[in-house]
Order: sequence, then structure tokens, then C-alpha cells
Amino acid sequence: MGMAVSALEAKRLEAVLKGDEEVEVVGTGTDAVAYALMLVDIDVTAAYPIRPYSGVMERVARLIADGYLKAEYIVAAHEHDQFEIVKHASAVGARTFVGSSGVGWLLAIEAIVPISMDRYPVVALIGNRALDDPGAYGVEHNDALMVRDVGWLLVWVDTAQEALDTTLIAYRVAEDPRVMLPVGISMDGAFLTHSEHVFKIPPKSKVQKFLPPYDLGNRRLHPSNVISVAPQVNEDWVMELRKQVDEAMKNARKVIEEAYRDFAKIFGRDYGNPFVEPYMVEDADVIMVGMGTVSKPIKEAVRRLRARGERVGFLRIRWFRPFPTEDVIRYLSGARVVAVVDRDYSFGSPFDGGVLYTEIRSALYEAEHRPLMINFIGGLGGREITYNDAINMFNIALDAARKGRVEQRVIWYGVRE
Amino acid sequence: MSVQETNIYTLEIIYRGVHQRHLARNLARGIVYAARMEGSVALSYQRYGDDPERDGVPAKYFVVIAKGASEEVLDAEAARVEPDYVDISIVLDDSILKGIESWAWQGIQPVHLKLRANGLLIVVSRRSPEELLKYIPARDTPYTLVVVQGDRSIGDFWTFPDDGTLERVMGAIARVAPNVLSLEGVKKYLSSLDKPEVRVNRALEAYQSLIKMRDVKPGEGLPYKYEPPHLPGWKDMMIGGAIPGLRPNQRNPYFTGGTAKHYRPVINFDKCIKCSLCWVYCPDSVFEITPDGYFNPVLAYCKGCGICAEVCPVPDTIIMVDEMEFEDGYGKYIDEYRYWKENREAYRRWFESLLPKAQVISVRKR
Repeated sequence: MGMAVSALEAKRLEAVLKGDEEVEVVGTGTDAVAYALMLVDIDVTAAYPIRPYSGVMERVARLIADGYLKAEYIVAAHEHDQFEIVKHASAVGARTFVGSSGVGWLLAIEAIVPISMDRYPVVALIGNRALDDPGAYGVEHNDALMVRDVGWLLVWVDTAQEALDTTLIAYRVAEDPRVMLPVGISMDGAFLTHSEHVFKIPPKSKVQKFLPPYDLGNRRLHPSNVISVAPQVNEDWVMELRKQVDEAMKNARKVIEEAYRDFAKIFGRDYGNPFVEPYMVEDADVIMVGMGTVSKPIKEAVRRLRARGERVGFLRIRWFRPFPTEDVIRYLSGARVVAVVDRDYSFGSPFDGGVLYTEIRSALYEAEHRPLMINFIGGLGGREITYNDAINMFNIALDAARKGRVEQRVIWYGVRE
Repeated sequence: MSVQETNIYTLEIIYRGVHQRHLARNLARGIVYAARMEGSVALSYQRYGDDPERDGVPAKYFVVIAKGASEEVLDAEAARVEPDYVDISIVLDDSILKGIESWAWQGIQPVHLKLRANGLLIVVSRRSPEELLKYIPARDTPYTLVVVQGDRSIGDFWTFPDDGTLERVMGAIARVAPNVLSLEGVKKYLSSLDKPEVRVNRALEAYQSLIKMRDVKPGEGLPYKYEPPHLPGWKDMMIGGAIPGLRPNQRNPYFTGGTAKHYRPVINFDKCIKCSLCWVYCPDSVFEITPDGYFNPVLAYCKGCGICAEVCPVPDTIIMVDEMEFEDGYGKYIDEYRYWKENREAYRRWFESLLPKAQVISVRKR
């Protein structure tokens, strides 16, 4: 085994590959995903560097070079090639991994859509990054949200541990015959891709119990199984094939629940509700909603405001596709004010708010009690949202709760006039 | 606003992709303009799935005319893939009578599939209605076959051969269906173009000299039953639209496409040197290798591009001959190799008889 990984980490990686115990390491969010790829034993990955995703391709290269992982590592000419490569590899029966960020993800969009429409369970890491222009390395969620309508399952994580665990779960869900759709794991650029966390790597022996081998069945492209895929069928077949995706996406809700249940049983880490993370939402008058690492400052704000007797809570949306409609209604319809923090924008959308705000508003239309809603657009391009910012936002929402009305629906929080 | 009974007429123009797409479009638009000039409302559209940018593919244009109506009457006829029925079918190339396979494959459709009972089937041809009936399938309802005398108008991707076909067809419509398009309307439209006198005279010529008409009774014509392909439901389809593939030497029974040709290769097996160039160059893998090493065209898949005749290195060995020389079609084609094997002398005489009619002859240029 190589010298490149520190002696301590080398010992621990060998332990999870050979033994039955989990180990603890320090690493970034992208490191955590790379360790998960080692555990699920990917066959093929296609890489092309772009910040902040690139950490994972570097770590995977390292793991292959040092002998911890045997996989075909293909350096693509650009992101479009990257996604074409894994699509084709997945079609012939290889377990694949891919990823990108911001404009790189968008360059690949023409290959990204057929991956879901052709029903290949590719798993991708989207290191969330602002779209050009203006140039910015920092986080915005619009890159991943560009594919929200085309059959990709989308999940946001907020710790390295969750990144590792969710990667394992992603393969299990994606490759389930009832689903067979790709999963995009979103990770906030900088705040998770480039921050160091302590996390646990489970032993490979347990992963093998959790994740069955990838089996495409009669859809595997192979000389012994003569099939044709991705046909030009025009209006005669298109609706039926879109309907298949619709059914698969709806099936995914059940499959995700099963996967988290088994995950808790096998690994002993229980995420509770798989789709959302409710934090002190019981009895809350004001509930803030967000995705990704904005959870950290908001939770701190909740604790501080609760200490002052304010009834506030937080709901983190983990799975954005399929959307957790029932959970959103269950946890939010009891509140007087729901304040959605969007690290994204949707210019010209119904109330000129963010994507998450618009979706949650739509879900709550079916609620018996519809709370007041405020939208904070903030943290764009990687700008910080601190717990003081979150407290300020809560205060605006608490004020609306007291007055029983919202003075400004959408607030660009912290924007300079 | 009250809804009034309106006379709505639908016409279809059946033409060959690439060669006749400008003619078809100009004719469709011309009918629309003419109809509007005589106070009707009208629109036209293409059958999009035909993909007429493909060489020779049988394709369709539709025109809807509503007499004395307001524009919104056409709303129900707009944004359609194709109409349910047509009152008039105009066939710009008589070899299309042998069947229609649109590029978005729906099986081999009879040329009059959409034609209403007692409708008009107008064909541009040099042949008589009696001769043309040998190529048209029988159907359950009567119709009238109308021949507009004329040679096949063949253009290319960019050019419209301004050869009078358009004017003659419009004159013929005015003659046989004055309720749909009057001679006055046709004249008005043609007078608004360049060379108005020449154009109007062409239309008048057809209007006056016509008309070879033949009432066709139910059951008259070729025995052929159209079977549309089965369209599976989403539960029946393989996930993601995968479909069982073809094994080596298998042909796709759901995509033949042989009706895209207006001429076909005929092989002189007596002169063939088995060089395999036709087999190599054929873009549709039409040639099958016989047990004794000849190359036999499976004509149901031949699109009539003529490349085989162009590349054949032996003089007078592959010739391209007009489809109307062969009374076959609707999925059943002559097996040239078998015919030759069965009676070489008869085949030789047959080939010799076709040679003077050939449009492309290997090595020798006509």
C-alpha cells in the first residue's frame, strides 16, 4: 500500500476493507464521497476537473493509485464526455460515478438528460457552484436545480458523514429495479466540499450486505443480449416512456424509505425521516426551511432563540426529487410563518422568489392550514450566512407572525443597495 | 357568436422527400392563397414525422379550406399531426401509388388510406387510370381516380423545378372539384406570380384537356390489407425504451422503407463479377449474398439511391429502372436472383427489355 495516504489513514482504510469495524477519519465532504465509492466498489468513473467537485476525483485517483480501489478511471476531454462515458459504461453493466460543478454540470446537460431517460442508475456528485457569469467558485444551488424536471433524483447533504452515507444509499436506490434512475448528490461548494469533518467509514463487509450487485437484467448491452437502446420513436412512444419515468420517480419514495430503514439496521446510524430533517419544529410558530449547509447557522439561531423563549424551528429538505410533499405539509402547516431560505434564484417565477420557496408554496396549497410565507434569497455565490443572519431572518418572520401578515414576500437578504 | 354549418374541405398532397418538397410546399401554399383570394379561409401543414429531408421518403402536406367561414373555424384543424380524413388526395409521383412508409414508420399505408368515400385521388402520371389501378390496393368504399397528364417532377434539396406541375394540378382541381377551388381563384393566384400568362395558360390547359377519370368501385385494385404496427403501452415497453435488437443478418421487419424509391436496381447476374462493391457501398444493407456468391437486392429495404449502379465496375450490370415498370409493391417485391436462377434466358430477355428504359446504367452513362 502506498505512502501517499498518511500511515494512520492507511491503517484505517485497510481495516474497513478487511475487517468488520468502522473507523474514524478526518476529511472533506468530497473525501467522504470517495471513501463511499471505495466501499461500493465502483467499476468506472469519468473525471474532468472543476472546483469544487474536483476534490472527489483527486481522492478517487489516490485511492486507485494506492490500491484501495480497483476501477476504470477515465479522464474525459470535457464534462459532456464525462457524462457520456458513464452513461455508456452503465449501459453495459458497470457501476459508475461521475460529478461536476456549476457550468461544468451544465456543459454536460445534453448527456445528463439521456442518463435518466434511458434509465441508467449513475450516481453523480454536484459540488454546488454559482453559474457563470459573473465568475464565482462559491455555492449556489441553481446548477443542480437545472435538472429538477428530467428524472434525476436529487438529494442535499450537510455533513461529510451524511455525504458518505448518502452515497451508499444513492446506489441502493438508483439501482433498485423499481427505480433505475440516476441520483445527483448535492454538496455546498466550499462549506462542505472544502471543510474538514470527522466522520466514520463503515466496513466494506456491511456495505456488501446493504447493496446488492448492480444488475441491469435484460437491459444490459452485451453481445449475448442483443438489444437496441435510446431509439428515435417520436410521438408514438414518447409519452409512454416519460410515463415510465414518472412511475419510477414515484416508486423512489418507497424505495428511499426502505433503504434508510435497512441502512439504520445494518450500520446503526438512523436518520429518522429520510426525506427531511425536522429540528425543533414541534410547537414552533416560525419554521425556517433550507437545503445544504445553511442548516448549520440556522440550527444555532434556533437554539439561541429557543433559549430566549421564541418558538422557532427548522426543516432541512434532504431529498428534493422526489419532493417530500407529505412531510412538508405535515411539518409546516402547523406553523404561523414559514420562512424559506433559498441559495438559488428563479427570476420571474410566480412571486419572483427562489426555487425551493416556489415548490414549498405549491406543496402547502394542499394543506388544510396554509401558513404565511416569507422567502429569503441569500448566500449567493458563496456568500456567508451566519447564525446572526439567521437570527435576523427569524426576527423578520417572528414579526410577521405577531402581526399576522407578511410585508415583503421575497427578501434579498444582505444585498447591498 | 353562433356556430354555423361550414363546408370544410381537406386535401392532402403526397410527394417524395427531397425531390418534391419544394413542389409540395409551393402547391400547398398556392392552394391556400388561391382559396383565400376567393374569400375562403385556409391553412396548410406538413406531416412532420415524415421527415421529408430524407431522400425519396413518401411524405404528406395537408391543406384545409373552409368556404365562406371565419378564421376560428380552422382552429380545430390546426395543430394536428394529420387529419382524420381527406376529400382529395393529390399524388405528385405515380410510383407512390405502390405504398407509403413515412419515416416515422406506420407500416406500409395504402395511398388512399385517408381518402373519404367518393373522394378524389388525383395522380400526376403519363399512364391511364386503368394502368394505374394495377398499383393501387382495393378498398371498401368507392372513389374517383383522376390523372393529370405529366412527367414526374423531380427537384433536389434546394431547387424547385418550375416545370408547370403546380399549375396543372391546380387547374385539375378546379376542373374536378370546383366547389373546393374555383378556376377564378386559381387564375387570381397564378396572375399574382411572375410570368402570370404562362402559368395561367398551363392551368387552363390542364383544366380544358383533362380529364382522364375513372370511378373505382369497392374491391377494385390490388388485394392488400393495411395492418398498422402495434403500439405498446408503458407497462409493456422495456424500461427506458430498450427494444430487442437485430442479430447479424437479421432485418428489421418494422422498418422496411422500400417505398421511398422511384427507381430500383436490376442486376444482370450473367455479367456480375462478384466484386461485392454494391454490397459494400449500399447504405441500407440491401444486398444479400447468395450461396454462389452473387449479390441479390432485397427490394423491400431499397430506397432507390442508385449508389450500387454508380459503383458497379462492369458495364450494363446494375441498372436503375422506373418503379412503374414493375407490378409489385406493398411489401412484396420481385426476387431478382430467384427469377434469374429459375430461367436465365427469360431473365436475360427481361433485362434487355429494361436496359433502354434505365435511368442509370453501371459504367456507361446514358
